[in-house]
Amino acid sequence: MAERRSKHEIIFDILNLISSKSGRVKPTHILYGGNLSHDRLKKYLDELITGGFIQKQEEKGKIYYILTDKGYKFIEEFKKIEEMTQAFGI
Amino acid sequence: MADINFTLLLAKQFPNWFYWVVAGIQLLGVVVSFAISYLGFKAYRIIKEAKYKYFFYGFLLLGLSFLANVILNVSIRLGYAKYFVEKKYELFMLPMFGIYYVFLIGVMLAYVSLAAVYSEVKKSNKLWLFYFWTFIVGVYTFRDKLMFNMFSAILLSFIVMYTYDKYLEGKNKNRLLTCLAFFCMFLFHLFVLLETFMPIFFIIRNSILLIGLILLLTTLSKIYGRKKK
Repeated sequence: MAERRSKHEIIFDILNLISSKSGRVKPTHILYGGNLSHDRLKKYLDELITGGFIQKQEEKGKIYYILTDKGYKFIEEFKKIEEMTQAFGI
Repeated sequence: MADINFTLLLAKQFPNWFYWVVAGIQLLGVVVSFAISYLGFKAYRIIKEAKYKYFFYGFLLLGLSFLANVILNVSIRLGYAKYFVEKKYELFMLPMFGIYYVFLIGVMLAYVSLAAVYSEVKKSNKLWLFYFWTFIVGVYTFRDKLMFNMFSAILLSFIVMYTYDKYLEGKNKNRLLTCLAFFCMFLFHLFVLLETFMPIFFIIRNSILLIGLILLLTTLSKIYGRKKK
Protein backbone atom coordinates (compact mmCIF):
# COMPACT_ATOMS: atom_id res chain seq x y z
CA MET A 1 0.00 0.00 0.00
CA ALA A 2 1.28 3.46 -0.88
CA GLU A 3 2.26 5.73 2.03
CA ARG A 4 -0.03 8.65 2.85
CA ARG A 5 1.36 11.92 1.61
CA SER A 6 2.16 14.59 4.14
CA LYS A 7 0.63 18.06 3.85
CA HIS A 8 3.90 19.44 2.48
CA GLU A 9 4.17 16.67 -0.07
CA ILE A 10 0.64 17.44 -1.30
CA ILE A 11 1.48 21.14 -1.53
CA PHE A 12 4.69 20.28 -3.41
CA ASP A 13 2.78 17.98 -5.78
CA ILE A 14 0.23 20.72 -6.54
CA LEU A 15 2.89 23.36 -7.13
CA ASN A 16 5.03 21.00 -9.17
CA LEU A 17 2.02 20.13 -11.28
CA ILE A 18 1.36 23.79 -12.02
CA SER A 19 5.06 24.29 -12.77
CA SER A 20 5.06 21.38 -15.24
CA LYS A 21 2.20 23.08 -17.15
CA SER A 22 4.25 26.25 -17.72
CA GLY A 23 3.12 27.73 -14.41
CA ARG A 24 -0.51 28.23 -15.46
CA VAL A 25 -3.22 25.64 -15.09
CA LYS A 26 -6.98 25.08 -14.86
CA PRO A 27 -8.42 23.73 -11.59
CA THR A 28 -9.59 20.51 -13.29
CA HIS A 29 -5.99 19.66 -14.20
CA ILE A 30 -4.96 20.01 -10.60
CA LEU A 31 -7.93 17.93 -9.47
CA TYR A 32 -6.99 15.01 -11.73
CA GLY A 33 -3.24 15.35 -11.37
CA GLY A 34 -3.22 16.09 -7.65
CA ASN A 35 -5.21 12.97 -6.77
CA LEU A 36 -7.37 14.83 -4.24
CA SER A 37 -11.07 15.22 -3.53
CA HIS A 38 -12.69 18.50 -4.60
CA ASP A 39 -13.11 19.74 -1.03
CA ARG A 40 -9.55 19.00 -0.02
CA LEU A 41 -8.20 20.53 -3.19
CA LYS A 42 -10.16 23.73 -2.58
CA LYS A 43 -8.77 23.91 0.95
CA TYR A 44 -5.20 23.52 -0.29
CA LEU A 45 -5.64 26.03 -3.11
CA ASP A 46 -7.06 28.63 -0.71
CA GLU A 47 -4.12 28.04 1.59
CA LEU A 48 -1.64 28.42 -1.28
CA ILE A 49 -3.28 31.65 -2.45
CA THR A 50 -3.18 33.06 1.10
CA GLY A 51 0.49 32.05 1.39
CA GLY A 52 1.31 33.78 -1.91
CA PHE A 53 2.46 30.61 -3.67
CA ILE A 54 -0.16 30.84 -6.41
CA GLN A 55 -2.54 33.43 -7.84
CA LYS A 56 -6.08 33.00 -9.09
CA GLN A 57 -6.80 34.55 -12.48
CA GLU A 58 -9.99 34.76 -14.45
CA GLU A 59 -9.84 34.91 -18.25
CA LYS A 60 -12.84 34.71 -20.58
CA GLY A 61 -14.95 33.23 -17.81
CA LYS A 62 -12.37 30.50 -17.06
CA ILE A 63 -10.35 30.21 -13.88
CA TYR A 64 -6.59 29.64 -13.97
CA TYR A 65 -4.06 29.18 -11.20
CA ILE A 66 -0.67 30.80 -11.75
CA LEU A 67 2.51 29.90 -9.94
CA THR A 68 4.22 32.88 -8.29
CA ASP A 69 7.97 33.40 -7.73
CA LYS A 70 7.43 32.30 -4.14
CA GLY A 71 5.86 29.11 -5.48
CA TYR A 72 8.81 28.41 -7.78
CA LYS A 73 11.19 29.06 -4.89
CA PHE A 74 9.26 26.66 -2.67
CA ILE A 75 9.55 23.92 -5.31
CA GLU A 76 13.32 24.38 -5.51
CA GLU A 77 13.73 24.44 -1.72
CA PHE A 78 11.53 21.39 -1.28
CA LYS A 79 13.51 19.45 -3.89
CA LYS A 80 16.71 20.29 -2.00
CA ILE A 81 15.15 19.12 1.26
CA GLU A 82 14.00 15.89 -0.38
CA GLU A 83 17.49 15.36 -1.73
CA MET A 84 18.97 16.00 1.71
CA THR A 85 16.47 13.63 3.34
CA GLN A 86 17.41 10.95 0.81
CA ALA A 87 21.16 11.54 1.05
CA PHE A 88 21.27 11.46 4.85
CA GLY A 89 18.60 8.79 5.15
CA ILE A 90 16.61 10.79 7.69
CA MET B 1 35.87 15.76 15.45
CA ALA B 2 39.41 16.88 15.85
CA ASP B 3 40.79 17.37 19.30
CA ILE B 4 43.85 18.87 20.78
CA ASN B 5 46.63 16.53 21.70
CA PHE B 6 48.38 18.26 24.55
CA THR B 7 51.18 15.74 24.85
CA LEU B 8 52.05 15.97 21.20
CA LEU B 9 51.80 19.72 21.15
CA LEU B 10 54.22 19.99 24.03
CA ALA B 11 56.57 17.37 22.67
CA LYS B 12 56.46 19.03 19.21
CA GLN B 13 56.73 15.67 17.48
CA PHE B 14 55.62 17.02 14.14
CA PRO B 15 56.67 20.06 12.16
CA ASN B 16 54.85 23.29 12.99
CA TRP B 17 53.13 23.49 9.59
CA PHE B 18 51.37 20.20 10.23
CA TYR B 19 49.37 21.75 13.06
CA TRP B 20 48.28 24.51 10.72
CA VAL B 21 47.11 21.80 8.33
CA VAL B 22 45.09 20.28 11.20
CA ALA B 23 43.56 23.70 11.88
CA GLY B 24 42.72 23.86 8.16
CA ILE B 25 40.96 20.48 8.36
CA GLN B 26 38.94 21.75 11.31
CA LEU B 27 38.05 24.89 9.39
CA LEU B 28 36.72 22.67 6.60
CA GLY B 29 34.68 20.94 9.32
CA VAL B 30 33.19 24.31 10.33
CA VAL B 31 32.14 25.09 6.74
CA VAL B 32 30.71 21.62 6.02
CA SER B 33 28.86 21.34 9.34
CA PHE B 34 27.32 24.81 9.13
CA ALA B 35 26.28 24.26 5.50
CA ILE B 36 24.53 20.99 6.41
CA SER B 37 22.93 22.54 9.50
CA TYR B 38 21.61 25.38 7.31
CA LEU B 39 19.90 22.80 5.11
CA GLY B 40 18.43 21.20 8.23
CA PHE B 41 17.23 24.60 9.44
CA LYS B 42 15.53 25.31 6.10
CA ALA B 43 13.88 21.89 6.18
CA TYR B 44 12.63 22.44 9.74
CA ARG B 45 11.35 25.93 8.89
CA ILE B 46 9.25 24.48 6.07
CA ILE B 47 8.26 21.04 7.33
CA LYS B 48 8.35 21.48 11.14
CA GLU B 49 9.23 17.86 11.84
CA ALA B 50 11.29 17.01 14.92
CA LYS B 51 13.84 14.99 12.94
CA TYR B 52 14.87 18.09 10.98
CA LYS B 53 15.16 20.06 14.21
CA TYR B 54 17.56 17.54 15.74
CA PHE B 55 19.45 17.26 12.45
CA PHE B 56 19.87 21.04 12.46
CA TYR B 57 20.95 21.05 16.14
CA GLY B 58 23.37 18.19 15.52
CA PHE B 59 25.32 19.80 12.72
CA LEU B 60 25.12 23.24 14.30
CA LEU B 61 26.73 21.91 17.49
CA LEU B 62 29.30 20.03 15.42
CA GLY B 63 30.13 23.22 13.53
CA LEU B 64 30.46 25.20 16.77
CA SER B 65 32.75 22.51 18.17
CA PHE B 66 34.95 22.61 15.10
CA LEU B 67 35.05 26.39 15.39
CA ALA B 68 36.03 26.20 19.07
CA ASN B 69 38.75 23.79 18.06
CA VAL B 70 40.09 26.08 15.36
CA ILE B 71 40.24 28.99 17.83
CA LEU B 72 42.07 26.84 20.38
CA ASN B 73 44.52 25.39 17.88
CA VAL B 74 45.35 28.74 16.33
CA SER B 75 45.77 30.32 19.80
CA ILE B 76 48.11 27.54 20.80
CA ARG B 77 50.14 27.80 17.60
CA LEU B 78 50.46 31.55 17.98
CA GLY B 79 51.71 31.01 21.51
CA TYR B 80 48.78 32.63 23.30
CA ALA B 81 47.83 29.58 25.25
CA LYS B 82 50.92 28.20 26.94
CA TYR B 83 49.19 28.00 30.30
CA PHE B 84 46.21 26.33 28.75
CA VAL B 85 48.30 23.61 27.10
CA GLU B 86 50.08 23.00 30.37
CA LYS B 87 46.70 22.99 32.13
CA LYS B 88 47.71 25.69 34.59
CA TYR B 89 44.53 27.20 35.91
CA GLU B 90 45.03 30.93 35.66
CA LEU B 91 42.07 33.31 35.71
CA PHE B 92 42.99 34.99 32.43
CA MET B 93 42.88 31.60 30.73
CA LEU B 94 39.22 31.19 31.65
CA PRO B 95 37.89 31.96 28.12
CA MET B 96 40.18 29.26 26.71
CA PHE B 97 38.77 26.69 29.10
CA GLY B 98 35.27 27.90 28.18
CA ILE B 99 36.02 27.36 24.49
CA TYR B 100 37.44 23.94 25.27
CA TYR B 101 34.19 23.06 27.06
CA VAL B 102 32.19 24.24 24.04
CA PHE B 103 34.25 21.85 21.97
CA LEU B 104 33.95 18.83 24.32
CA ILE B 105 30.27 19.17 25.17
CA GLY B 106 29.33 20.40 21.71
CA VAL B 107 30.73 17.29 20.02
CA MET B 108 28.94 14.89 22.33
CA LEU B 109 25.60 16.73 22.25
CA ALA B 110 25.90 16.85 18.45
CA TYR B 111 26.26 13.07 18.29
CA VAL B 112 23.31 12.60 20.66
CA SER B 113 21.19 14.84 18.41
CA LEU B 114 22.17 12.91 15.28
CA ALA B 115 21.60 9.57 17.03
CA ALA B 116 18.12 10.89 17.93
CA VAL B 117 17.44 11.69 14.26
CA TYR B 118 18.39 8.21 13.12
CA SER B 119 16.77 6.32 15.98
CA GLU B 120 13.56 8.27 15.23
CA VAL B 121 13.03 9.44 18.79
CA LYS B 122 9.54 10.87 19.01
CA LYS B 123 9.32 12.03 22.63
CA SER B 124 11.66 14.93 23.24
CA ASN B 125 11.24 14.81 27.04
CA LYS B 126 13.13 11.50 27.04
CA LEU B 127 15.79 12.92 24.77
CA TRP B 128 16.52 15.75 27.19
CA LEU B 129 17.57 13.12 29.69
CA PHE B 130 20.19 11.89 27.21
CA TYR B 131 21.29 15.47 26.63
CA PHE B 132 21.59 16.00 30.37
CA TRP B 133 23.72 12.91 31.01
CA THR B 134 25.87 13.61 27.97
CA PHE B 135 26.43 17.11 29.28
CA ILE B 136 27.56 15.66 32.62
CA VAL B 137 29.92 13.23 30.88
CA GLY B 138 31.14 16.11 28.71
CA VAL B 139 32.01 18.17 31.77
CA TYR B 140 33.82 15.24 33.32
CA THR B 141 35.87 14.43 30.21
CA PHE B 142 37.74 17.72 30.55
CA ARG B 143 40.70 15.98 32.12
CA ASP B 144 40.40 12.71 30.26
CA LYS B 145 40.89 12.82 26.52
CA LEU B 146 40.56 9.06 26.20
CA MET B 147 37.16 9.03 27.89
CA PHE B 148 35.94 11.86 25.66
CA ASN B 149 36.98 10.03 22.51
CA MET B 150 35.63 6.68 23.64
CA PHE B 151 32.26 8.14 24.58
CA SER B 152 32.12 9.94 21.24
CA ALA B 153 33.03 6.71 19.43
CA ILE B 154 30.23 4.86 21.25
CA LEU B 155 27.68 7.49 20.20
CA LEU B 156 28.99 7.49 16.64
CA SER B 157 28.86 3.70 16.41
CA PHE B 158 25.05 3.95 16.68
CA ILE B 159 24.94 6.61 13.97
CA VAL B 160 27.16 4.49 11.70
CA MET B 161 24.92 1.44 12.20
CA TYR B 162 21.74 3.43 11.54
CA THR B 163 23.13 5.10 8.43
CA TYR B 164 24.33 1.73 7.15
CA ASP B 165 20.82 0.32 7.63
CA LYS B 166 19.42 3.32 5.77
CA TYR B 167 21.89 2.67 2.96
CA LEU B 168 20.79 -0.97 2.73
CA GLU B 169 17.14 0.17 2.60
CA GLY B 170 17.62 2.55 -0.32
CA LYS B 171 20.98 1.56 -1.89
CA ASN B 172 21.46 5.26 -2.51
CA LYS B 173 25.04 6.33 -3.35
CA ASN B 174 24.76 9.49 -1.27
CA ARG B 175 23.61 7.47 1.73
CA LEU B 176 26.73 5.32 1.37
CA LEU B 177 28.87 8.46 1.36
CA THR B 178 27.11 9.70 4.51
CA CYS B 179 27.58 6.35 6.23
CA LEU B 180 31.29 6.28 5.28
CA ALA B 181 31.71 9.87 6.48
CA PHE B 182 30.35 8.96 9.91
CA PHE B 183 32.51 5.82 9.89
CA CYS B 184 35.58 8.00 9.29
CA MET B 185 34.60 10.16 12.28
CA PHE B 186 34.11 7.00 14.33
CA LEU B 187 37.63 5.78 13.42
CA PHE B 188 38.98 9.22 14.19
CA HIS B 189 37.78 8.93 17.78
CA LEU B 190 38.64 5.24 18.12
CA PHE B 191 42.23 5.58 16.94
CA VAL B 192 43.04 7.82 19.86
CA LEU B 193 43.76 4.54 21.67
CA LEU B 194 46.53 3.74 19.20
CA GLU B 195 47.83 7.27 19.22
CA THR B 196 48.82 6.79 22.86
CA PHE B 197 51.34 4.16 21.78
CA MET B 198 52.13 5.36 18.27
CA PRO B 199 52.14 9.14 17.77
CA ILE B 200 51.95 8.64 13.99
CA PHE B 201 48.26 7.91 14.54
CA PHE B 202 47.79 11.63 15.20
CA ILE B 203 48.47 12.11 11.47
CA ILE B 204 46.43 9.05 10.45
CA ARG B 205 43.43 10.16 12.52
CA ASN B 206 43.44 13.64 11.06
CA SER B 207 43.80 12.22 7.55
CA ILE B 208 40.77 9.99 8.19
CA LEU B 209 38.83 12.99 9.47
CA LEU B 210 39.73 14.88 6.29
CA ILE B 211 38.42 11.98 4.16
CA GLY B 212 35.18 11.98 6.19
CA LEU B 213 34.71 15.71 5.68
CA ILE B 214 35.41 15.41 1.94
CA LEU B 215 32.74 12.69 1.74
CA LEU B 216 30.23 14.99 3.46
CA LEU B 217 31.28 17.82 1.18
CA THR B 218 30.66 15.58 -1.86
CA THR B 219 27.13 14.80 -0.63
CA LEU B 220 26.56 18.47 0.06
CA SER B 221 27.78 19.57 -3.36
CA LYS B 222 25.39 17.07 -4.96
CA ILE B 223 22.47 18.61 -3.04
CA TYR B 224 23.44 22.23 -3.71
CA GLY B 225 24.64 21.53 -7.23
CA ARG B 226 21.40 19.88 -8.33
CA LYS B 227 20.36 21.36 -11.67
CA LYS B 228 17.11 23.30 -11.78
CA LYS B 229 14.56 21.71 -14.06
